[in-house]
This record gives sequence, structure tokens and C-alpha cells, in this order.
Amino acid sequence: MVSISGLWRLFSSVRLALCLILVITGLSLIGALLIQAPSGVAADPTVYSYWLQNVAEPKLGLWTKVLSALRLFDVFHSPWFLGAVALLVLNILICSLNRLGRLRMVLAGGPIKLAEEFYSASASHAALSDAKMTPSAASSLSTRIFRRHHYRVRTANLEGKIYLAADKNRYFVFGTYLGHLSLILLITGVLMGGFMGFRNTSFIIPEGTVREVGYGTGLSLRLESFSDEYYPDGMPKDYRSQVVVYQGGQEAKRGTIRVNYPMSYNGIRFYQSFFGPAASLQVKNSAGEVLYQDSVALPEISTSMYVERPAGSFSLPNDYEVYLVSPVTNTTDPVMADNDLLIEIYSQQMKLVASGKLSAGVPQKLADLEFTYLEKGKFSGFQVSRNPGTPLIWVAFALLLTGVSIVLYFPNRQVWAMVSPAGAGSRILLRSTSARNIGANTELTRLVKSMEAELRGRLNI
Amino acid sequence: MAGLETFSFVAAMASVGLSILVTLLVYIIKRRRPMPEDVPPGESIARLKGWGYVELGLAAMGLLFLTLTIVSRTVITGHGPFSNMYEFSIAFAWGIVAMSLFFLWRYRTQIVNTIGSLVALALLIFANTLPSKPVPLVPALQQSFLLSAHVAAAMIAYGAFTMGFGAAILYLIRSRRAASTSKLEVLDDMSYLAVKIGFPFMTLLIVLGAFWADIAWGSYWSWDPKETASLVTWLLFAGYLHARLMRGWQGRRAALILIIGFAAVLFTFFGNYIFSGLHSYQ
Repeated sequence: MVSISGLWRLFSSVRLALCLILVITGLSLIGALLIQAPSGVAADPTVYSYWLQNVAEPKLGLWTKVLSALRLFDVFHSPWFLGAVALLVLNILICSLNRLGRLRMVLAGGPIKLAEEFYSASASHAALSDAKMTPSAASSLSTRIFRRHHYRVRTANLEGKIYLAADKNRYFVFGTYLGHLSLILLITGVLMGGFMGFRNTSFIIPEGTVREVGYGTGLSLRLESFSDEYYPDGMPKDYRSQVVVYQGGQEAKRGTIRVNYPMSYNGIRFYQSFFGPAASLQVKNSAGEVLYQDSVALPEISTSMYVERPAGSFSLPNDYEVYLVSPVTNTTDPVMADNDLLIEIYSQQMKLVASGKLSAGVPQKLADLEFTYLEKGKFSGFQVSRNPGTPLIWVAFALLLTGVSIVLYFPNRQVWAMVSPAGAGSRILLRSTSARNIGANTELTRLVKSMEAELRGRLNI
Repeated sequence: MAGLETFSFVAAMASVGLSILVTLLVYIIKRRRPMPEDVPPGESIARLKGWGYVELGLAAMGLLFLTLTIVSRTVITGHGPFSNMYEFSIAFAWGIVAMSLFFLWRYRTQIVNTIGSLVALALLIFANTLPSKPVPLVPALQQSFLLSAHVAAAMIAYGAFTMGFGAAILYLIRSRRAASTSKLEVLDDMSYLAVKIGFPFMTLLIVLGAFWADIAWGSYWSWDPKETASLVTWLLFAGYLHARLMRGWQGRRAALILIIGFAAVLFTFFGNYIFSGLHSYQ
């Protein structure tokens, strides 16, 4: 039977924190080494099984099933990872609560007078003596030295002995709190983004058209024009989209979106992400009425005879699904002319109704409809997202950096001294915090050296 | 300018190589003299004197030439030299040599410095096998300030962790041979200083990366393999700090984490070759 206090003790231990950090490190290592299902894929069972068959299995063979059952293809959303992070958060919270008492003690400074044995119990302790100096003079000398090293000194005079308690950087404890609470803030920010935000990684707009953003934003985006520039060696140099944001049909903002320069409107950000060819098309019925006139983006890839061509689709009001394939973009197409477009028309039951080739500007009858390929253009692909958690992430990061710097560069130091009469002079016993406190030993040595120098100096006068 | 870049790159390699050679020669020559019985076996952590200044000078020359390489390359390309593995390797080597000099000045011992120089030389030799022709920046990298700050933080963090690795390796070797405790304490102290410098910069490196990813890739974190590898490295050193500050891990156990941590640094650095992803600029 595990008791509440036992659990509390477990969750307030640094040992558990170390184990959890190790587990999270191990799982992250798996995440870096093992191919991971792209975001969104693991959430959709059909897409996921397709991914397993076509991407994971060729690489991992028989292991695929085992790794998939262990959820290791989506390790950062697996119960292992999320569980370990949740336990670590609990661990951090309980550790922080458990140390609140210590926090108060560090700030106040703790007891001044301690048992005699205490002064020589630490691995770092020292003794000094002077044959002539009275205890009160020795105590004021020690106080002076401590203060010179930026210590706060508190003294107590009891039973003929003088006790000193000195400390430095007592606000250090807040560094630990800052560092740890920032991690909790970070996780809160991540969760906020997940639950209150949205992300559409492929928001596609052909040139000259308007598309609704959706997600209840009431926004739509129009792509005025898109341009891509290249270096002489063919490497991409710049992609830019000229866009207009509409809110409720009214123009709200206008500007350029480039890689590294997203556009922001009302907390919604538009990022330049990808691009490709588009084709504008007009479809008339047999009565000559225009059923469809729009630009169609061709973001997909159609492979035939080892040639990859841009492809896209749209639906007609009569429920026909129309597929378009354009010529190869970067080189000359072996089969198709530059102004041609392959077209396939499917019924609702995915039966091929008609297929053919469209040439720019030439109307063509297909399945009782008249198709005209008006002109070729480009589409731009954006990532649209709203993440209300992001500001919290930056605050958390700032706190983390501050916390880490305080902990590493302004460590808390505590030194205790007991001055007692010894013959005509006095004896000073000194100790610092335990040896675990990094540099405590060096720090005490520094103080002692300083005191010795002072003692010698006084004798020389 | 291109001529100056090549010249200083070769000169940097020669300086770093020579400094290693001198250390080894001095070590061998000293070794041949019979050691007096009462000298503790850890004595070869030589104090800075005589030949030590030659090594110091060579390391400083190495830093000077590496700086020259980086500066002339910046002039040629018009941006910080941080866009492909050739440039990253030189930047990493610069971080190590700079950190070595700092540790040399702080602790006056050369041997840790020599391990750093070995790693730096290996990186320079590696860089020498890579295509050095400057390539134009792809759109995602065209953010001069963040590119420079992100990679500069990596230079300092990785350089410091390399020093931690050197101190840890020596600690393990020397503790086996029962060296004097004071010598071991110096090494232990050095390794902690390395983390003290490296960890905040590693944190900064990740923060700057996240900030940049948020504007360039549309998300502050995408579990890109290189991101994940840097998280692994960060976690290892976070673990080290907790073990050390809260549970008093020192000496051998602490040294072991630092060696694993350095392996994680190398894994993060060379990650581009192991996995693909958003960071795979070649």
C-alpha cells in the first residue's frame, strides 16, 4: 500500500526528476532517429495505415508493427512521452511546494547560533585564532570581511561567545523557481496553442482569386500576384505573394508575404509556404450558361511513365469531379505542349465520363459541357495559423534564461562563524554550506585568506 | 578576398596542428626523464611555462586565422558564414579554439586545451573535405540577424561543451591512475565551468531557433530531427546540473554525463547527415 506521504516524498525527490529527464531524453532520441509520421498523419487511421505501408514498412520491415504498436512513430504524442512530461510537471510542482519552507528560511537567513559540533561538521570548515584579539574585536573583524565580500551578516551574543551567520545571493532561490515555473508556463503555452488555436498548413490560392480562411475567422485572402526568383545556379532566391486580407468582405490589410516575413492580422498569421502552377478555366453547359469560371491550383503530382506533372482538381455544380494535369514545369515536357492541359472528368461514383486535352484559348466539348482553358498562372500556398499560446512561450523562455543564469552565476552562499575566547585572545571557527554546494569550499578559502591577511596586517601596525 | 580566406584557413589548420604537435613532443620528452618518486603521477598537467607559452601562442594564432577566415568569407558572401556544413564546421572550430584560450587563461593548464585542439583540428580537416564554394542563401535562411545570433550561440555552447568533454576525459583517465585529489578537483571544476558557460548558451540557442522557426516555418517547434537532437543535448546537461547541484554528483559520474553530453552535441551537429528535415541545408 502506497501512502499519500510516501507518494509526496517520491514526487518531491530529485532522483525521480533525474529518472524522468532520462526517460524523456531517451524518447526524444528515438524521435530524432526513427522516422516520425508527419503531423496529422497519425491522427487519421486511414492515412496512417497508408503511411505505415508505403513509408515505414519499406524501411523497417517486420519491425513496423511492433514500433507502431508501441506508438513510436508518433513518439511525441505517445502515452509514454506525454505521461513522462505530465509526471515531470507534477514532480516540479511538488518539489517547488516542498521547498517553500526552505525559501522562507533562505530569505530570512535561518538560525544564527548552532550547536558546537556544527562548526566543524562540514567538509569545508576552517579555524583561525589570534593570541591577543578579544572576541568582540575578532567578531567585528569577521563582519567587516564578510561585508567586503558582499555578505549579509547577522550576529548573536550568547554565553560569552559570538555567533555570526552570513549569507550572499539569497534571492538565488527565486532563480530555481523561475527556471522551473517557466517550464510549466511553457507547457501551458503549448496546450493553449493546441486547444485554442488552429493551423492550416496548406491554404492554397491561385493568382487573382479570393479564398476564405475559415476556422470562424471571417477572413478571406486574395492573391494579387505571385513571383519567384532564382539565383543563376537555379537555387531559389525569393518567393513573394502580393495579398489582400478581407474581413467581412471589406479590405482590411494589403501587403507582401515572403519567407521569413509573415503577415499578421488580428492574431492570425499568414506564412509563405509553397507554390506551383495554376490554370484558369471556364465551363459552360449546352445552353451556353457559365457553370464555372475560376483559377484551379495544381498542387498535386501526377506521375505517368516516370514523368511527374503538376495536377489539381475541382468540382462542378452537377457533381462532376474534374482532374487537370499540366506540362512539366522546370524542363520541356516530352509529350505535352506548353499551352496544353490534360483533363479527366469523373462522375460522383468515380467513373470516368470523359477525358481529353485542352489547348489554351480553344473551347472543347467534353461530356456535354464546353471547357475553355483561359490562361495559365501560379498559385501560392500559405500556412495560416493562430496560436494564442505563443506569447506565453516567449515569456517562459525569457524566464527560463533568467532563471538558469541566476542559478549558475549567483549561487547562494552561507557561512557561519563562532568566535570564542581562547586564553587572552580568541578562536574563530568557520564553516560553509555542505560540499554539495559547488564552489563553497573555494569561497570559504577566499574568506579565510582575506581574514588571515587582515589579522597579519593588524599585527604589523 | 578568396585568396585571403584560403590562406588563413590553411594557416589556422597549421597553427592548431602545430600546437598539438608541440604539446605531444613536450610530453614525450618530459616522459623520458625518470620521474622522482615523490612526484604525484598527475604532474603532467603542466603549469604554463616555457613551451607552454609556445602552445598558447600557436592557439592564439589559430584563433586569429580562423577569425580572418570567417571575416573574409563574410565579406565575400555578404552574410555571416553560417549557411552550410563547411561554414558551420569552421564556426564550431572557432568556438572551441576561443574557449580553449579562455580556459588556458583561467586555469593555466594545457592538456584540456590539447583535447579541444584535437577536436578543432578534426573539424577543420572535415571542413577541408567539403565544398567550400559559397552558395547563395535559400529564402528561409535570409534573416541575417537571427542566422548570426543562432549560430553564434551554438559556437559558444558547443565550444564550452568540448572543453567539458576534454576535462571529463582527463578526469576519467587520471582518476584511474589515482592522481592527486587537488589535480582532479581542478579538472572537476573546469568541467563545471564548461557547463556553466555552455548551458545558458545552449538554452539561448534553442530559444533563438524557436523564435526564428516561428517566423520562417510558422511554428516555434516542429519536432524537426535537429530540433529534437538539440533538445536531447539540453536535457542531458539539465540532468547533469540537477545531479550535480541537488544530488552532489561529482567526479567520475559527472564526467561520464559530460562525455555522453558531448556525444549528443556531435550528434546534433552532424545530424544533417543522419536525418533529413527542415535543417538539412547542404
